[in-house]
Amino acid sequence: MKALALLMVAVSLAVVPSLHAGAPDVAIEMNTTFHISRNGDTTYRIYSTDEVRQTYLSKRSTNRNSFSISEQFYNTISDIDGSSDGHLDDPTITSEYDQGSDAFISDFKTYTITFPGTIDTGQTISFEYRRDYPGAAYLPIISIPNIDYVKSYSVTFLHPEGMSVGFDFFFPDDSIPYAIDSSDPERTVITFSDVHARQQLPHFPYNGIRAAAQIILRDGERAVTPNTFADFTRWYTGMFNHAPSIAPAYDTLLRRDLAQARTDIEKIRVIHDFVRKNIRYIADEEALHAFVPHDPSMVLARGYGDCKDRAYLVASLARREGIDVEMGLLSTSPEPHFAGTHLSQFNHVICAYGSGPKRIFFDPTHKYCEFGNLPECDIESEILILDPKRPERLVIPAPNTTPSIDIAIRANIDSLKQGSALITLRNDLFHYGLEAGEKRTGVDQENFLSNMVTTYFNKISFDYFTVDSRTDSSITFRATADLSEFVIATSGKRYISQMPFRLVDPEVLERASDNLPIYNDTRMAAAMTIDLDAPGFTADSSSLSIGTDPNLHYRTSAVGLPAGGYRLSYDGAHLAKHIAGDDRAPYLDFCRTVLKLKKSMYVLTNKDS
Amino acid sequence: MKNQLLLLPLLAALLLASCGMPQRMIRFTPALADSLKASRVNLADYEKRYARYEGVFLLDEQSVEHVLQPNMKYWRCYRMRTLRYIVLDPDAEWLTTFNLGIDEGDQLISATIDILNPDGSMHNYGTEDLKKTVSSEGETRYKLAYPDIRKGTIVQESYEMAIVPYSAAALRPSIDVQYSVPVEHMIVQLALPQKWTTDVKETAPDQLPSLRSQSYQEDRKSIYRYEATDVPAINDEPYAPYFREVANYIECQTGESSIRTTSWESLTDDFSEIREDNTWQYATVRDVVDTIVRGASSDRAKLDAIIRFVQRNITPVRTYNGDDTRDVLESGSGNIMRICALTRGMLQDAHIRARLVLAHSARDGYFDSNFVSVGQLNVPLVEAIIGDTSYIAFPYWKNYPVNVIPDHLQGQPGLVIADEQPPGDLVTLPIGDSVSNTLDDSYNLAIDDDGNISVEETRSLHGTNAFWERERLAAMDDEETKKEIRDLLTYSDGDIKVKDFEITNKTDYEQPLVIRIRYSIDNLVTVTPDEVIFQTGGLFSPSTGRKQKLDTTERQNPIRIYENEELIKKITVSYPASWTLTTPLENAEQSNEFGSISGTYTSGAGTLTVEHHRLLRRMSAPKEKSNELLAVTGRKSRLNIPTLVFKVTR
Repeated sequence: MKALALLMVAVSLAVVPSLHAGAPDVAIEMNTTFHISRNGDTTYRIYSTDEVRQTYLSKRSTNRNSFSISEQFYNTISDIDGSSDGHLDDPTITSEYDQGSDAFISDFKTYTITFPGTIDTGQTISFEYRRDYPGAAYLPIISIPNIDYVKSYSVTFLHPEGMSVGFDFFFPDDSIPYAIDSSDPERTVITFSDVHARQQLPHFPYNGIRAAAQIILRDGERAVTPNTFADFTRWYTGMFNHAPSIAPAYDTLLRRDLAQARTDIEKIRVIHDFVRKNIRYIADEEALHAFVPHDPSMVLARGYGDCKDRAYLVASLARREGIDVEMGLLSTSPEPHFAGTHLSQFNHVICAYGSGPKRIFFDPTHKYCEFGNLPECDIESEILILDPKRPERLVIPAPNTTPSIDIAIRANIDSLKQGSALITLRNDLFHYGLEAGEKRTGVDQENFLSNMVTTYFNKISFDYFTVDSRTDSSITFRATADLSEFVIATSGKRYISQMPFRLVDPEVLERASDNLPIYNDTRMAAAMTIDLDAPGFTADSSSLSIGTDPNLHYRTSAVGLPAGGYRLSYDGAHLAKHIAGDDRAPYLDFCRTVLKLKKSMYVLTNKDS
Repeated sequence: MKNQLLLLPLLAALLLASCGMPQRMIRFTPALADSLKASRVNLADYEKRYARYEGVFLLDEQSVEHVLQPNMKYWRCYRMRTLRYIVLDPDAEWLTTFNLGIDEGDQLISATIDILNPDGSMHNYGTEDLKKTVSSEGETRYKLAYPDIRKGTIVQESYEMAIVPYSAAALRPSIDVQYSVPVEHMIVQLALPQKWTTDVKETAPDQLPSLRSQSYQEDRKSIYRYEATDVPAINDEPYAPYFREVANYIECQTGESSIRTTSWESLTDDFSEIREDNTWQYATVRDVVDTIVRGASSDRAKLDAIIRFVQRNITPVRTYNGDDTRDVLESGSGNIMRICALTRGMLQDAHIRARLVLAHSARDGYFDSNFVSVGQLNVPLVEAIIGDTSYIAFPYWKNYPVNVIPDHLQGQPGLVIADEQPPGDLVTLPIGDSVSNTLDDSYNLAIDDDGNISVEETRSLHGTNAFWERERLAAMDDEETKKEIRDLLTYSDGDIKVKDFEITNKTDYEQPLVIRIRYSIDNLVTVTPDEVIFQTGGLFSPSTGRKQKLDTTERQNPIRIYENEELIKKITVSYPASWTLTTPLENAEQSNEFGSISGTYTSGAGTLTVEHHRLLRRMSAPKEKSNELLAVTGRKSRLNIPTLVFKVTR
């Protein structure tokens, strides 16, 4: 489903665009003209001509002589031409079908325009091309790239009289000026001028754009572009049968398992597990299937499909059981937010069952993700539920707040390299653990697991993993824990850090000086207890707690055990993905405090010293 | 006249018919369902034997056949392959799809794919089922995703192609016979006109692929046949040679004796157009050279100026050799061979002796000096000679420094294509010295009474490390550079405050790139009333990078280290006079044939000086020496100092 997102950026300016807030390296002028004419009562003929001019302002920018343009079947490109202000040879234009993305078969094509020769500061190159669109729904989002200096970006609509062109804007930070001229009944122009680049920020999801605008076309009273949730759902689901029958050859498929399932939820689990485990991930995105799923019977026959194929198959198999499971479109990374919606806002399809707070989301594309849980990339994404009767957009809540990594260590203070650990992995780490067990062997598997777990810890490493037990939602390994660097020995004392986890990315503190939203693409919750046999040592019990929010807290304690020794407990949750407004300051305080905790120590004192 | 013209196609068709079909000895016989069914296997056995692999090739039968057209002067070339394999991991897309790219001019004649599932069900596909795309460069790609693949499914792919007769694929077939998965039965056949000569390349000293030849007088053909069973997979392992340095393969060249090249000297005739191109002597080129080298005070400086000019101003493109060097300069683009020829000419214009060399890459396996073939020489470069020193340059790689040689080319042979003297010499490319890959870091740490640390970190980068970092920095503006500096910091797990930084020799490619950063860290030092704990946070680690265990018992590949690697780390820690270092630090040294690792510690009042040194030598060794390699590259070094403890005197 990746191809859906490709409409977003019609022109990628330069192979390695510079994104910065300093003096610009290039000045870019872009002109797009949409030619819209009626083709019957409700359909339209649409094409655009695009012109891009780039003027080189710095010496170091003059090696950016290559430009790429992407094409899908629904925005085919023709008439590419390029020129310079007289000093360069004509550009070479090459094209290549995509071989690198996750779509095995697709019509996605990239044109590359390369200007040969030496470009000097002050010189200008330009290129132009035409795109044809099969309908208004395929019109792109207008996007102002956060790149050097956009001197002007003008989008002109040549349209029939009676048609209106409106815009829904999204500005990731401050709005930028624009002008709309609709004085001519057959011509509407929107112009952005003098847009400078904004500094790149860590943990900010919109570094690539300064603004985005959704095009809203109306012909008289009638909506031409399907912008509302209802219009979009009607348009999208209208391209395939919302309630297809499954071929008779599959009448017996899952019959026995489904007969044993007592509730609708159990039946859905059976279907979900069948699809995620048995349908291979291969994306055939030829033509319309760039965003329209294949017929479920075909997917069953092939035994493969992509996310939308799988979601459609699950919904269809559930419907055969009389259960309403809806498909939902989402993006696994934040997209510009509009009042309505647009095809380019989505790159993934999952399923939803039920309504209101009891609604369950599940993702049959993720082979190792158990029913009732979701892969991290889906959580807190905006999803459009494709229920033709009641389409709605909402945010996918986290299915649980249980720690993804939960470790119990037993160790003796005299043999700290030989601690024994029980490591329970849940959520994404559980899925990675399952995959490692299935796809890796020997030292390769050991390296993977050891590195994956050790990554989350300061000065504790884990080795020699063997599976201890497994449930539907967790896997537990036995491993060796090396605490020899974690427990710091001096002549009379042992110091043990109050913060063993790498819970927070320190880079987020760079966001203290702005007020824009903060975004974390991964969340983490971890828990650990260390039962430390420490003969000859004594310590006072103590504890520390930061935050009370289940999604954002840290707690640690050290207490003496009745049988001797000490139990050190650590429990942290950093489960916030989107942080904005008033939540920013306490969030950054939490991060700052947690990072500083690394030097806070529990102290065990030798009784003899 | 019109009627006569109409007759011509008819006449041509009759002539073709009378010639008959080309005489082929190796017939393309697509698999029959029955024969595939006969190949059903015991899945459990395969799962047990080949647990680490995604599949096993049961049969790989490849052939190349050259066919002289009867009564005619031209010939055709056909390539066929039948690949039968069992799928052990149905998620492995490369085993569950057909994905064939063929070069411009080649033609897929037919393809059949048969799929046999463990339950006996079958699927069959043909050429018409393949999705076809053509790139602007002429590559045609055929694709099909196989349905209904399960663990234990057997797939058989068979296809037949016509190859452009004078292409490298036709004249110099190069066929892998060992892969990243095991092969149970491998067959390669080369069917060639009897009067043609055929040379086969050694894949190691005195090691030729075991090709058996048989002549067929009646058909005037010779068939060379290679057959092997139970071919093990080549596993991907750290510190291993390049794939073709350990894998078996067949590389040969064939053709009529009259057009065959028998000496390296005569091979340069293939490049006579380039060799004899003297357009670099034209005034238009000389004028450009004069401008470029104006102000350069030495030949070395002129060399740098010319190489940098070409790298920055001439765009490499995939075109035929047609343009002369002057055209390349004027148009600003050319193929890499022509770019090297232009560079050589420009150096000659600047009175620097220069040679155009075609070099062999270790990635292509062993260099067989008796196998005279351009197929062994794939990397053009320019060698400039100033005094007694030769300098290697790659003028088509943007900003790539002079005399930094990629590891796969170091010590490899090269053929001189153009020189002041008659070409044809085989030369050996230099081996990079340790300086070219040295990381030389120093850290000055000052810890105050409250445990705040001020760090001055100086990183000196040489050779390819400096090259890549310069490339990155050159593309960055101030904001991006600040970000890059933060990413370069050795310690990053805290609220780091970068005070300032300085980059020296950013554009002076002759000198090491030096990056000096001053920053503060607030979460590494714990001050208690009587002791101070300094968690060194990786600053004292003698090596960086991900921890990796090496499989020393099941290792398959010999050990190969391509370049010397040297890490020098000097750390000075100053701390309050009231603190006394109590952590025992003993000098340590360990060395073996792979290299050495050492740490020396000197402490005085309020100061500690640490020097870490790690050297890994360029070398080859048998796999049995893995444990010794581990001693100097191991995942945990005894030189690592995670914590320093100080006693506080009040």
